[in-house]
Amino acid sequence: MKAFRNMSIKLKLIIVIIGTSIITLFVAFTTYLGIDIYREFNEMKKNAVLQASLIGQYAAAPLLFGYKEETTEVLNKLTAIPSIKDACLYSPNSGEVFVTYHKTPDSSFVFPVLHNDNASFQNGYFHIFYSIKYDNNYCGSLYLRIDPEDIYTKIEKSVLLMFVLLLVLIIVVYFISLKLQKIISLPILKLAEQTAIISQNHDFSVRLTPYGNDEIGELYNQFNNLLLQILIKQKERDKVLEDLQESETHFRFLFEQNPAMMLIYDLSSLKIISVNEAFIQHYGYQQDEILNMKLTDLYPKNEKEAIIQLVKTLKGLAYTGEWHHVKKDGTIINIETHSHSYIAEDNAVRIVVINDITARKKAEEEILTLNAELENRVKERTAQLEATNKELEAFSYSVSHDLRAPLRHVNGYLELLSKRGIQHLDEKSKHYMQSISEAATHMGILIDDLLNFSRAGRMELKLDKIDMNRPIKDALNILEQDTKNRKIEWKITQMPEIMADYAIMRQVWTNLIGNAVKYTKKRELALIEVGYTEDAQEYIFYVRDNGAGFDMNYAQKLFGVFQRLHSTEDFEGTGIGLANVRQFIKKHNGRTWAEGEIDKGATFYFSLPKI
Amino acid sequence: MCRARKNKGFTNVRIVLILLMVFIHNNLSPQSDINTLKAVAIEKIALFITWPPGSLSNQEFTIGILGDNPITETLKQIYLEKKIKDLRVNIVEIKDIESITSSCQLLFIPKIKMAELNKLLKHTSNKPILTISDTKGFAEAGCMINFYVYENKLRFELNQKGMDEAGFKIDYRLLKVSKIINPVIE
Repeated sequence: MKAFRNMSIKLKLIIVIIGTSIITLFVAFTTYLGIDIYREFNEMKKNAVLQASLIGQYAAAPLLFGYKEETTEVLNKLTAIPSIKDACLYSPNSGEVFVTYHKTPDSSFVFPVLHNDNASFQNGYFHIFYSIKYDNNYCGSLYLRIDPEDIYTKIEKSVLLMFVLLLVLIIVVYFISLKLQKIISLPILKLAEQTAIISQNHDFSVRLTPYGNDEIGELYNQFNNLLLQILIKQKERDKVLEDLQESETHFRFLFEQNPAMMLIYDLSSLKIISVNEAFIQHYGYQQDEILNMKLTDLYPKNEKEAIIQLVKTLKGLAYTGEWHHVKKDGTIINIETHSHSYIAEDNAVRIVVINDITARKKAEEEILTLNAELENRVKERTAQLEATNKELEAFSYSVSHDLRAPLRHVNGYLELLSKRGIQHLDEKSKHYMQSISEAATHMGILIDDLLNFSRAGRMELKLDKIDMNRPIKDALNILEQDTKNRKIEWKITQMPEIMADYAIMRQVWTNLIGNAVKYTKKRELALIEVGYTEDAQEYIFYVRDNGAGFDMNYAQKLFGVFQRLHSTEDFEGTGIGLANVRQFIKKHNGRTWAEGEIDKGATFYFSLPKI
Repeated sequence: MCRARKNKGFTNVRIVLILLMVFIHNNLSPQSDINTLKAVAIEKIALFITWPPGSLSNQEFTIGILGDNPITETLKQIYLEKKIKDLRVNIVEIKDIESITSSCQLLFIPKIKMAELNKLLKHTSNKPILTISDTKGFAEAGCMINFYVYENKLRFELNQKGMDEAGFKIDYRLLKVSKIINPVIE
């Protein structure tokens, strides 16, 4: 079968045509022969039965009467029929063989026992049993053994004739098929030839001309169609390839020329597959050298096991981490890696972007050192400052305290002087004395405020839960002297309970409300509002007035020591009050600020955190 | 001798018995043996003979035997059940020639004087009676069938002309096995 498959179409067609012809002719001839033989046999059987009936007629009477000679005489007439080889007649009475006949006298044929009427073909002979009857009376039976050699001769002749005829027909068919096969094989061979040319030249723009509209013609059309499809696909593929090439170039460029160091390794074997120029430049390895290395070769000894364990857990996950790498020259660098997996040519590989962070690490360390140093220096300075402050406070306290004594003397003597003979003094001297007295009083106040201020820096807070209304009430009592001859419209809100130092709060309110009273003294009707707002973190208390106000540009100066925005002539004061307020509120972790406008009044705020 | 296929076996047995009997008789008495053969042959001969039209209209086939003859017993034995021309067989002993009538289809004539035979034949000449004898010269005298023994075998003569004139038709096969006396030349 394989040999047949590899044959040329020409040979195949010839074989198929001849084969089919042989089979057809053979079947036809055999069928004809079979029918012929069957007919011959039937004919012979019919003839034999006819002969038997004929002999039976003649043998009936002698057989019935048991006359052997006459019966034999009848049977001997069979010599005229050469195909009857043996015959016998059975007695009607006993059923035994009565007379026999042999074509060849020395035949040793043993006659069969009597049998019912029957014509059979056995062992190459016809066997006929025939009952002889006369007028429906049984007169005995006849047996004939017939040699069908005539038929055999006929069959032999027929077979010979058939074979001769078959041979002649096959030769004729061969020559016809030789011509006919070209009708089919020629277009196919032509197609094969042209296909070979096309595949050799890769010229898919060629078109074939079909021979007809049969299946082969359709094959030609389909082939042309296929060529067209190939052409289209080829163009599409070329385009895609071009794009791919371009994309590949882009990405290769992106990889190769990327200033970031990149490395690709195989996830299962850890073999380094590719590195970019930046990597080679930085690490100092040769391209072929690095490609024979494993990922682990880049790590210092103490990190090798850890990186192997890490890679096992990576799978498809992206990873960012800090490690150490060893360069070609043996220097160990700090690196930061960003890696992720992707599948290339069926192997999971991992692309790693490496960032040398040695310098950064160093910088960070330096910063840390600097910070520590700075912190130490700050601590140092703070300590120094604290010490200086303490000294300053101690100094100002002692100064204030020590100033009081001479001032008391000045005041005391001024009093004595005025008791002794102020009336003797001319007007000018009186005025001088007056000025001295005022200056001394002012100085006294100044010293008191300075003492307060220096105390404020050092004092300890006594935090209690206090009703804020109470220190306000105290402040109003303290200020009664200044307010009793004034026309003031008060607007005081009900205050909350807070955690604060009661004495300090009284001083803060006295200061702020006192200021408001002081700076509204030139107003016909003074309006003073005391209130608060709150949010989640803190309370904000305020005192608002319609007094002289201030220029917002100097708002920051308001809370400084000895900072005054108004002359002492206009409004008396030491310039320490608000500085004290800020100091006190700061102790409570609060803030102080102010809003105002010249001649439009001012608002002073302070906040206190809720716990 | 009818041999219906279905009781062929039984008939075969019977035939064998008869033949055995014949064989025994043959040993004991040649007379009775030849009588049996004759009795059997009568049926076979009758088979090939066609009686004149209308002569076999009776229900039975009557065989007449003239005078006292030992064959009578043999015939009676053999045709107890056996039929001739598909008719039951009636064996009748006839005392004198005058009592022979057309009701008899076959007449067995013993050895009698020639004059007596002539008288008998004259009596039967216009009747469809097959005459059978076993006496030498009787066929020539006008008897239709006459048995004789030749080479130790029972044979018979056939008076063709006599039978033809009496209206009997004879199958050519019977002629082939008989010795023909007075042949009809056509």
